[in-house]
Amino acid sequence: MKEDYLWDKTGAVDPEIERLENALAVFRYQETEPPALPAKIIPFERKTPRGFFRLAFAFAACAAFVIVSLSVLFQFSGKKIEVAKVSTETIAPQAVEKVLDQAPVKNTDDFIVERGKSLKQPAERKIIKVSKVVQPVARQNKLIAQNGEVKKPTVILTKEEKFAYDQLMLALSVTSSTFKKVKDKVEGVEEKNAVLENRR
Amino acid sequence: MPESEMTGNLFLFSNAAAPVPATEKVKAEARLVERVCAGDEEAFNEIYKIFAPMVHGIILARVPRDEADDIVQEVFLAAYKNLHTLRDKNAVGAWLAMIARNRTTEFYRQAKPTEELPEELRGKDNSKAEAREILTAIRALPETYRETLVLRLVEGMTGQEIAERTGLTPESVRVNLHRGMKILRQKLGIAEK
Repeated sequence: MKEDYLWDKTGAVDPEIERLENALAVFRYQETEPPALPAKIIPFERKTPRGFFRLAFAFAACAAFVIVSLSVLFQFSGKKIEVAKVSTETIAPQAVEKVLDQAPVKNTDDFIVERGKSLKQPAERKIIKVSKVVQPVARQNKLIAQNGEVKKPTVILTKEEKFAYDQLMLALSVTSSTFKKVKDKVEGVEEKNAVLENRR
Repeated sequence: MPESEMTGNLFLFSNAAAPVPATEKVKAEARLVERVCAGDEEAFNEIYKIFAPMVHGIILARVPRDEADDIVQEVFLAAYKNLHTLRDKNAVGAWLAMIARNRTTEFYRQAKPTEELPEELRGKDNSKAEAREILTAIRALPETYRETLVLRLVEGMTGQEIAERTGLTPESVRVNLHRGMKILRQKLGIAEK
């Protein structure tokens, strides 16, 4: 095998390679005109679309934030006022037992459980559900605002409670007068009064 | 990885320090690229004349010859549009070869299934029949040998020219030619002298 001829067509001709060359020459590239070129090279600038997408993303993020914050705000401010709320509480079996200890209870089956006796079959005890009406505070406030007058809750106190209340009021008044004196001393009001009295 | 590619890589390192005889040519090509980027269409036509046979050979090694001319035009159009993205202006040949290889892959991805004409319908030109037979044998070779052999036997380029245009090292081209020719001889039943 003559490698020189295969490499650069120099040296002794290899007849087999020459035969292959001649045979394959029919497929050789025929010089043609270069392709018709577009009018101008338009370089693809990457900065513009990237900047645009960055701006669009920032805008979308801001819009989303505003929408979320507004929805949260409206959710809290426009909270619906409940008219009445009925809650049910389940009394524990121990509480039922306590009630039974205090007084005879008439069951639905018209038989009386005596005082001091508990039910023998705890598994059959019925759970009593007590409905409790909770007055909505918001509704009360709204009504007060509409009527323009404040109704003070009427509190009935016992004698001991009344005494404790009076004592508390007295203590509060003493404390407030003491605080006032301290305040006047700190601010120098007492000295001014003394000067005024001396002038008189 | 084929053995020839490994050899090519080794030669790439060994060739780095060696003087390159075609430096001036490479510089001239780089200048042509710069002129094209500046909007000189004549410079592009020169690039086309220099590299069209190489691109044609690479395409012919992969796709049917009827399609080769169209794909060559597509390759150069794509190159013209993207020439400003070429970082190493001296590597325009290797870049064009890469575009050509990618285009042939794309061709097979998009191509509808076709059937080749049987031998009796292809015509009775014996020389063409023989040429088709040889080309088929070359196409059956491993990719690295196939490309180099087509450029040598079909396009009539020397080993040095193949190395300059494709960006391969002369050593790897020599190895590819030698090994590819050996396998081709065996396939065609030609006794090695």
